[in-house]
Amino acid sequence: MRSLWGMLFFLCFPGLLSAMDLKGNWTLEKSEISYLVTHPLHQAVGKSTAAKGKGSVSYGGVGRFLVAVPVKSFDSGDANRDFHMLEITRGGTYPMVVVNVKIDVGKVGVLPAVLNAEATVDFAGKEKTYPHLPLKLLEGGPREAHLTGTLPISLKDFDIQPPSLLAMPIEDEVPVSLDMVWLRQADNK
Amino acid sequence: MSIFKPGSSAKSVVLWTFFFLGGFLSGARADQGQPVAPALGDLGFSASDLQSDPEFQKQLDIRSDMLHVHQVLGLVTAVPLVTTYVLGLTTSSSVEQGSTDTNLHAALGLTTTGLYLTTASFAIFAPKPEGLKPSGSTQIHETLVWIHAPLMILTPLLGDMVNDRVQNHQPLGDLGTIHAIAATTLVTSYLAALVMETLNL
Repeated sequence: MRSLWGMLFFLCFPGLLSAMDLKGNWTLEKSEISYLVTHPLHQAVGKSTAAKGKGSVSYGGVGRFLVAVPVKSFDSGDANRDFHMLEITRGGTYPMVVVNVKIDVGKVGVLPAVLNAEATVDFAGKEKTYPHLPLKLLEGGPREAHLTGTLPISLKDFDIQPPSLLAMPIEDEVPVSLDMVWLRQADNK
Repeated sequence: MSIFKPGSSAKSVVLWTFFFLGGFLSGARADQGQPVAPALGDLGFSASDLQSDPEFQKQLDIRSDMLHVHQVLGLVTAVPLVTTYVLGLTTSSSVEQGSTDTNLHAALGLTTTGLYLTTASFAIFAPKPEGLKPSGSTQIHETLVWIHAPLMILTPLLGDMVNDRVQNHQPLGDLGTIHAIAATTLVTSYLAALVMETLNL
């Protein structure tokens, strides 16, 4: 008789077997996004903590997220370099970097250590999709997820002319590190 | 091996069938529920953050072009500057031996001053974006300007005074030494400014 009630319970609430812990709306609580520029003579790192993001995970464990950050919010420690970066990335015309992320966390109910995301980056008026962006889960739970990852941005992909110094251009690869803490909103929100 | 225990009732089999069907159907329902990504406007950025500003982009383009010319001319200017300095050392020793020929050193000095002013003008007249506050290497680069810019005016003037005395066979006194100290400080601060900006230390 007890097993009968158990089966009836799961028949009535089948969602409890799937991604119940992750389903809902998520908000980017805090983040640090940084790019690394490599020139033969030196390296520079620009950071921004001004990113905002929202997303939701469906009943089936499919998540759709949107993260955006103003190009002008990146600080490399040298204002002149930041304005130059703003110029070459056409930051006046296209002031935002927008990243659309699609993640399938499955119906496991708990987050795996590494999430495989599909990220579409809209930057400098161009769009590029990264079909396999691994996002490492540092801490995760039903209400919070701390994720890190690196977007392998190539300047060519976004038609950005690499700036040069002493006739030596910077490297085409500009890895962008993502460090994000996402919070799930309360159910009544 | 059967998963059913011997003697399990038909009722149990039916219930288990419903149970698995229920899970199957719930999965199907979840796949249909694709979430919709939020729009950029939902994120809470201000309108000014999202607004495209072609005029600002144009100013940035002009600024970058002018600073690029400033950078190239700055490197070019370093060549006659150092050459003038080295030539000044040899001219000084030949003047001590009685020579009055300072023309080449003087001409090169004036050329350097002209190039320097041209170089500086590209930085001075480049559009300044709102909120631009020098920081990092650029701040040091700009601080060093307060040393080498006045010296770039003062040193040729001192050189002209020295030249007058040389041509008129008058004693130089300390004027030659002051000219040399000014020139040394000028070259050092200029090269330091160039290195700071080039290597972004």
